[in-house]
Amino acid sequence: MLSSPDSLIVDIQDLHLHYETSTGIVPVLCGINLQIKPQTTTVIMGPSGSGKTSLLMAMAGLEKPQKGLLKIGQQNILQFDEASCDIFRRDQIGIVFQSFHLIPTMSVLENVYFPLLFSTKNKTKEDKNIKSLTKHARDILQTVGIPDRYDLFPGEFSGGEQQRIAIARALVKKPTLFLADEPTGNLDQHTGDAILDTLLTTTMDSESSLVIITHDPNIAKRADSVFLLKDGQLVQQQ
Amino acid sequence: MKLLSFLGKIIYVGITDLIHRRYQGLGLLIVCLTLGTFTLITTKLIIHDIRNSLEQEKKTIIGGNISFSLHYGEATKAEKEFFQRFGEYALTYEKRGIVQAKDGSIKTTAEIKAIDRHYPLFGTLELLDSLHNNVNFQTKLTNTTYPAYADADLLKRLTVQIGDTITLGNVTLTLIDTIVNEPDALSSSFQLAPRLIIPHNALKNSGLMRENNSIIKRYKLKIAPDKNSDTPSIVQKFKEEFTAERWNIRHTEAMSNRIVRIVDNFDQFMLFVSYTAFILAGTGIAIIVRNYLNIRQHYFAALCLADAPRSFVNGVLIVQLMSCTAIAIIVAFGFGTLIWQLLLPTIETYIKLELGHNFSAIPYLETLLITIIFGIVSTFPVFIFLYRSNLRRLISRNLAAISVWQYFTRWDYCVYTLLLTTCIGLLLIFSTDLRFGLMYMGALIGGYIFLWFSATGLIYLLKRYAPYLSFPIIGITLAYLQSSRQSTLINIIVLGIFFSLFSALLIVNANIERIFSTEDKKTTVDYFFLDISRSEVTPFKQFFTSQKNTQKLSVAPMLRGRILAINDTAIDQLNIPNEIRWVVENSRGVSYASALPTHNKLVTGKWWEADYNGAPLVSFEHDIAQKMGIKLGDTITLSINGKKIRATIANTRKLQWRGFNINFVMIFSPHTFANAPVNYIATLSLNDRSRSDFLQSFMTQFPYTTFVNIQQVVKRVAQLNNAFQYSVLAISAVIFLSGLLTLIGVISSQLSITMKQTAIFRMLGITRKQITQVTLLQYIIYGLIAAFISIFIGIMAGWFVVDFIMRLEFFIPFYDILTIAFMCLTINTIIALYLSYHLCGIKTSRYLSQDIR
Repeated sequence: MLSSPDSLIVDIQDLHLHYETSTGIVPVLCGINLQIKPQTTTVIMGPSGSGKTSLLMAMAGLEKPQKGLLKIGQQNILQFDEASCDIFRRDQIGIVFQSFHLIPTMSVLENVYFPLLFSTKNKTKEDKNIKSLTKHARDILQTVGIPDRYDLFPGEFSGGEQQRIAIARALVKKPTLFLADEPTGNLDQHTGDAILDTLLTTTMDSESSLVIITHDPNIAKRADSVFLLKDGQLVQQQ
Repeated sequence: MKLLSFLGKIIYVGITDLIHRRYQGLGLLIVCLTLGTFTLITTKLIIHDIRNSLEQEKKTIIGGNISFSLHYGEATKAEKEFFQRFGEYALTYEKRGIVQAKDGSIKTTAEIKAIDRHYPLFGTLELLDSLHNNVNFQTKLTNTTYPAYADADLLKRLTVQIGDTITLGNVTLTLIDTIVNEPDALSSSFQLAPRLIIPHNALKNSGLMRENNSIIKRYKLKIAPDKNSDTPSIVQKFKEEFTAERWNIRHTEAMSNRIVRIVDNFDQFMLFVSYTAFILAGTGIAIIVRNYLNIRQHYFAALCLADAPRSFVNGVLIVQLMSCTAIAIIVAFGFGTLIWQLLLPTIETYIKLELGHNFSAIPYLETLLITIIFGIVSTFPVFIFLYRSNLRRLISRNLAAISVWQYFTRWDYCVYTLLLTTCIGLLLIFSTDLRFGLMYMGALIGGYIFLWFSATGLIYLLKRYAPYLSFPIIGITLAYLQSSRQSTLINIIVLGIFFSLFSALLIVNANIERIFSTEDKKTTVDYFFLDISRSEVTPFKQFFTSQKNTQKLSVAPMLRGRILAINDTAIDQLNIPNEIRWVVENSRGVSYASALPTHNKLVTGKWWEADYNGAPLVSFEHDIAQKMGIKLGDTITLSINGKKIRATIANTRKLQWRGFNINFVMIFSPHTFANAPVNYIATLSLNDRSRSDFLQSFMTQFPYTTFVNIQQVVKRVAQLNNAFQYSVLAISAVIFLSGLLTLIGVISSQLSITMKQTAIFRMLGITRKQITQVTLLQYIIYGLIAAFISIFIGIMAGWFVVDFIMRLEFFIPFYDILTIAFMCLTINTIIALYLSYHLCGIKTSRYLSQDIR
């Protein structure tokens, strides 16, 4: 764990991010401030193009803001070099996207235990034993409700099932922070609700903090706190 | 009209999309197809030209409609009358002899050709100047000298000029002109030395025409136009009226197999190499088209969503591929024709045949047919996918994860098999020798299956054992290799085909080169002696035994004999494989010996006792005997000096073909030729090769004995070999480029999938360094496997070409093998580093925010 329940899992202060394009500088995040407590669910909403995904990418260390403070747990990830940031993300952050982003040529089981092969969290030889890795992956897949067809490829599962597999992959390394970018955006209402249930339950069980980017007000209703991102500024709604 | 309008729309949509996208995704297809087609068309144009010239210039090459050749004796009066009955004939004598500069300081061997006033009956003897026009070549220039024409090479060797005099045996010759082109050069025996053309009387007075000396007399007959007889019927009549066994007869309907065989071998070699290059390109095309579909899946889905019928979508792809194919074919045909024209002078120099005036549509049509059929085979699975799948779903599916084969019905498999069979059939039809064609196809299919099984086996092993490796990078790489099954298969197969062909060419080249290498020269003899009469043998041996510089002298008796029958079945009724027809189609040197010669190794049977004097026994070369189906105890009938000899096979031997040792396919028990007129041949190895001072006294003591300086022969053959090596290197370069581009095409077309996968890896926290390590390791593994397999296939293919086709002793060139492995690994490392650089530079967040499943 990176923090005690009383401290912050995410602490963002005066965060600025812009993109340089051929037409000039496009400001995306203009002095964002955001504090998230451990083991809570936070929803960030906002119109398309408001910078929600960019904020999530920044929290994941996949975008490098030009200015500000971005602490995950006790670590200011903006001070990390790229490799340290990668290692930090690998061990501490789980991410799911609307497009699942599963590796199509790997089986479901391989997709899920793949991140564990690199994880520096597994220190002992026993941890790296393939039997132990696959058992762990199977357990997670069962938890998210995937039927035991783990040797099949992701393409052979429905959209909802693929999102569950993506959730399982993100959870397998027991992340401190779980980031979800419109996780139900590609799914129907019923499946979306089921996925959300899974997401909320499993992150709670694994004592992770959950940040969800969404347009869906129904998801917002189930969050501990809700923020609205508009014109690069973040405003707390709830 | 409706159909035309529909087609018009398809063409408009297909072409405008292609132009709008600047052929993106199909550019490499054009390059691969151009290179493959270019190799094929260039090869076909050259081969077709050579074959046509041979066909058209038959009479010139043979020197007449029919050529009757003799090694011993002359034509009888009746035989000469027979020739005259059907037209005009020219008589030429061919012999190797020693010529000397006037002061005797320089001596060299020349291929002497004595001609009469009728020569040449067809074609023109081209000379450098026109000095000879005022000279009657058959008469003496002065009381003491005869005129002569010489090759430029002979002038150079003797350091003389036109107008100088040289001596040949007892006669003095004045060089009056330089030979530029000898019309019937191709029908002569292999020329070890430069040509010298002299009149009949000069040779007769030289003293070299001794009994049993090796002199070929060729009676070349030009059939008179008023004789209403065709060539084969005249030959048939001759065979009926005379003892035909002593004659070698060639005519326009049955050219010398030696010439045909050279062209056939060249044809086969070039054709198979170009086919392999083409198949390599074809594999690349299949992959590029498959990936083009991946890249453009949204475009095709969008066409469907715009209510375009399935036939329209298929039509658009067909139009796009056809336009790329058309561009490739036009460019390849243009370049092929240009290269053919540029290479003509070089090829003419080496094969002594006038080329370039045989423009024919056939090579173009053949290539076009092969290209189109190959194109259809390569792209068929993609069209089946487009035809059978739900195109609208393309908008939301990750096509890279879908195998197009899953859409194949039983009928599709049947059509695909038919297309593949047509392809194989075409390749076989267009190959000159069906047996070699089948062998090639067998080797190719075998190689492909071998590569496929190797790659599949690797994937299985990785699946089974890779997860148990505790090193993350290795584990991830191996997991990636086995999970990206298609990618691993494609990369190994493409690399494998490419390097197999390349290694086969390098190995063949290394084997040929070895014969002319410095190291090999140490093993060859220095001088070869001909026409040593029986009475001269003892003094000849004594002469060299007394020389301090003599390292080794080998002497063997030689007669000329021609195989007439095996087990009493006439030779022309037996099915003799092409590669050993040279043994039976002409008279050959045969020998006799009481003991097994050195350099020979007994394989089967026993050598006869030294004093054996029973029925004739013969020892046969082992490999040739096997190919001819000859076993111990079989009988063989030969014509020697016009006399029939029937001998029993007593044993078989292996010969050491390299090193210019004395080698005889057939060696008889000594008693067989007890009283036969015989000459001897000899080889000499010197302690100090640079010292040839013995030649002066040798020529004085043995003025009619011919010697050949082997080092000069090696140089001459090396010149011919250089031409072959250059052509092999040129083909290798084209194949290398073609293979490399195919490989780049394959990797580029997989790039979008690889980049997306890398973005996922980065999302999961894999660092750039680890991505580089994984990519590097992945390509090193591809390289190692491809190198291992292709070296194995290359050795097999090289062994076949060197041992079976070229009849040379095969060796495995370790240095070249190391070079191939090094190249394979280097290329893969460069690709991996470039790919890593590309992959590490991607904007991960951009890929992750794209909505593609």
